[in-house]
Amino acid sequence: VVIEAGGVLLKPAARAREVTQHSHDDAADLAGFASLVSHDFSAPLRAIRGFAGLVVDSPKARLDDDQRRYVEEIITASERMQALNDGLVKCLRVPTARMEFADVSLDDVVTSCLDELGARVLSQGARVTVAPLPVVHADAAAIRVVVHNLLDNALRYAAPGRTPAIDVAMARGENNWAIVVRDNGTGVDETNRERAFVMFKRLQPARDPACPGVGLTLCRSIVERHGGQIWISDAPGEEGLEVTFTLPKDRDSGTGAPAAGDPRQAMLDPAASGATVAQAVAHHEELAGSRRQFAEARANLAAIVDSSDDAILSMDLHGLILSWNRAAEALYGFSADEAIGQHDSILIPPDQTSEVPRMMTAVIAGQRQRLETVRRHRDGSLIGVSLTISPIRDTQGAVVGASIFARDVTERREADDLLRAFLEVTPDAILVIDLAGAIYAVNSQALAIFGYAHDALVGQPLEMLFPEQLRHTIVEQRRVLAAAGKKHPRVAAFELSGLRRDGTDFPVDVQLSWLPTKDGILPVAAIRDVTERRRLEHLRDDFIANAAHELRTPLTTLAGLGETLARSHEAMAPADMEAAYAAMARQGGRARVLISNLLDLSNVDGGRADFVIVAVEIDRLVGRALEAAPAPDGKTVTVAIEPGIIVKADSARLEQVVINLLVNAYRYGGEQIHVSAVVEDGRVVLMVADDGRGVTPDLATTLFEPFSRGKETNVVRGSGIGLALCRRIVQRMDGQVWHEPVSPHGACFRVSLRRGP
Amino acid sequence: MSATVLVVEDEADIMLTVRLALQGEGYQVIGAESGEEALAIFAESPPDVTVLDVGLPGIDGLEVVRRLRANPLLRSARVIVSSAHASGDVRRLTEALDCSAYITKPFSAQELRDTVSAVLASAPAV
Repeated sequence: VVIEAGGVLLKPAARAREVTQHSHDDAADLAGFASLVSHDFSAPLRAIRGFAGLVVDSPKARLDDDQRRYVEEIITASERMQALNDGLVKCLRVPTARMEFADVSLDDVVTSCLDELGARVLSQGARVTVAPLPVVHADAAAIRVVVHNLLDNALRYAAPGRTPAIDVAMARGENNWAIVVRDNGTGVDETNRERAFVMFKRLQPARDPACPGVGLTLCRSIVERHGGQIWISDAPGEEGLEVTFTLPKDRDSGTGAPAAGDPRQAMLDPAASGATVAQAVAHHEELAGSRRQFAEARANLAAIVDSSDDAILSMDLHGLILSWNRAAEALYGFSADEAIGQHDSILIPPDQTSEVPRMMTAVIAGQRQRLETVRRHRDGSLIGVSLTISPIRDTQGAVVGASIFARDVTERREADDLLRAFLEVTPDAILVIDLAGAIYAVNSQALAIFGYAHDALVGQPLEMLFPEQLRHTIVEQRRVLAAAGKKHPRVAAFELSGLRRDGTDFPVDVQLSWLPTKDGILPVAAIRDVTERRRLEHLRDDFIANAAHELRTPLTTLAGLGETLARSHEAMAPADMEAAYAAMARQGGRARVLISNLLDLSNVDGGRADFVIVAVEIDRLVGRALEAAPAPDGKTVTVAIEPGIIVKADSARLEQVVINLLVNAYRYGGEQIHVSAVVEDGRVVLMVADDGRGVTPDLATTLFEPFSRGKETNVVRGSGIGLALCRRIVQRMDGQVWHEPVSPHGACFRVSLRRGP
Repeated sequence: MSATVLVVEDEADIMLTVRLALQGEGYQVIGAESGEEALAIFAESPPDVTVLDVGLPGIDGLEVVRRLRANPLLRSARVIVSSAHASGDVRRLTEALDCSAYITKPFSAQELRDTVSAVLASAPAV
């Protein structure tokens, strides 16, 4: 071993300078190179340390004091470099290392760390208090590293001339444990706090070669692997700081273990993988040549990157910005000097922060992502950006950071937003179809109309929204449309049935047309649910048929009798002639009432009739209605209304309603008709009750529909739309009308109206 | 002797209209307000021709024709169906039941007189 190691004594030293120099030049290089070189470092460092030790310790060395001091400096420096390298290895390993999650008592962890640091606690005279701590689900060794580092820092950065006081406390959040390590040390400027987590960033001159400057970086990696966060804040007192880290209570929050056989494991730790120093050396020799080529290639690449119109930046796995091209300066407003070394949170608006962990998780998993989102300019304004985020890998394939290509899409987003808004304001389901016939994009109405979730619809064939028997039609039409092609885009409309997710079908109008998108010109189906329209069409058709039907008796009678009288009145018996004239008058009157009711209904329904709402004394109004429609022979009307009850109504219209209800009672009721009014809850309810046969249950549901009618007890039929008209009138006066059966038999119609002052 | 016309109609004013139109031509007119009443008149003395409303309470006009056709003595009765419904279904049914003519309300007195005289001049239904 000694001989093999001796053979590489000088070269690694030279390379160490080179690489170290490099690291200072460009932090970005570090992330790429560190993992490459870290394991190469170990063996030569051990060799330097070993040979230097041999020189110092050898009785034959005969060194003078200066020479001895120089060699001891070499030993100290190499030890420090070893610590640095170990720290680096640990940091790089954490994001992908296998974590062994188990229940860990933080009490035990803190006790054990304090035991280890005991000598320093004693020598510094530090006062340490530890609150009872929880049992957490964590990797015990990793969590121990975090706790050890935080306690170590608290001792290390004690303020000169002050007795160190360290508190370890715990807070219980809804989903997290928060562990706080508080000291009364020198503290950290607020502006430097995020930088404290940067690798090799020491906030104070290193007084201890065993401190590699990776502690907090490592802590952050570990805590994040556990699904937690770590940050620095002021201690509550005047001096010192608090480092807080959180761990989720939920056992499944860690980012889990990397795939077994991760090549990085072997790369970072040749000893663990069984690689010999010789192999490591050979590997190093091989790399040395390619590194020169890499340096040239890199210079070319840098020029290309800088000339790109897209903003290109890179960051490490903790979101620290490592490189920043000119377009990035233009897009975000930060210069390269300002941006590099900053956390990428400077670019992220507060309401977008949630996308970052998801993004980084995907990067660590080696996935490339495209994302349209919003970023923040240096001046605080928001920029719509299209991001392409790719993992940066080292030569071994391990993910060490992310590259981000960003393009300003503010204008396009505004246009897209406008288009999207347009799609959302139409009542139609809009489905964009790709050329293979799969649904490519939908608006929310499409989801509502067909009852699907977004993801259950996008990517599915359009045919799924139509009943089985129509699917071939849809496929055929799409084919025809595609064949007509972009040269002759045409619009085709169909009346079809749609199929909801629950299996029910409903009438739809489908219009197929074309939409230019960034993926080409795609077919668009605008689908309108016409259930309501069809229902109204049926209602209208029924209404017309019913109205015509109602006119047939008056017309047959008037025309038939008129013609017969003209033709043969001389031969007609006087009684027949009298009957004929009476029938003509009756049917003419009926036609007139029907036509005028139809007009009324149309006016009231269409809102064309003016309603003049005034205070109306209900007893007087009923009196006027009874004068206009007096009880026929054999019928008796009794009225029981307290004088002075006032309603808010259109007087003439309400009188029309009361007359209608009275005539109905004369027509369908028995001998006794009772009209009354009561005040209920600030409203007045007017009642017209009869003791007739009442309303049959099948009729009750359609009583207020036009042309719904019962069996008359009188020869003269009504228009069939009296109650429909009553309901419309009462509704226009902010009232209600309904029917209730009367015991033992009969019908009571109630009109509820606003009470007047 | 003038021909006898049975008018089956539940609306009094229509009945009056048909009766006066046909009496003016010298026909004997008998009225029935329901299908049951019409069948009773057929059982007693069948008329020469019947003007039958389809929409009757109780057994409707088409059922009246079915029962006539099921009776060997009455199966050849000449029937003019009158209906407010111009729907094809009713018309097809009346054809299937060998009705002599079909008139749609509202009909004119002229149309009614012409139809009755034409049916009377034709051969019995079956």
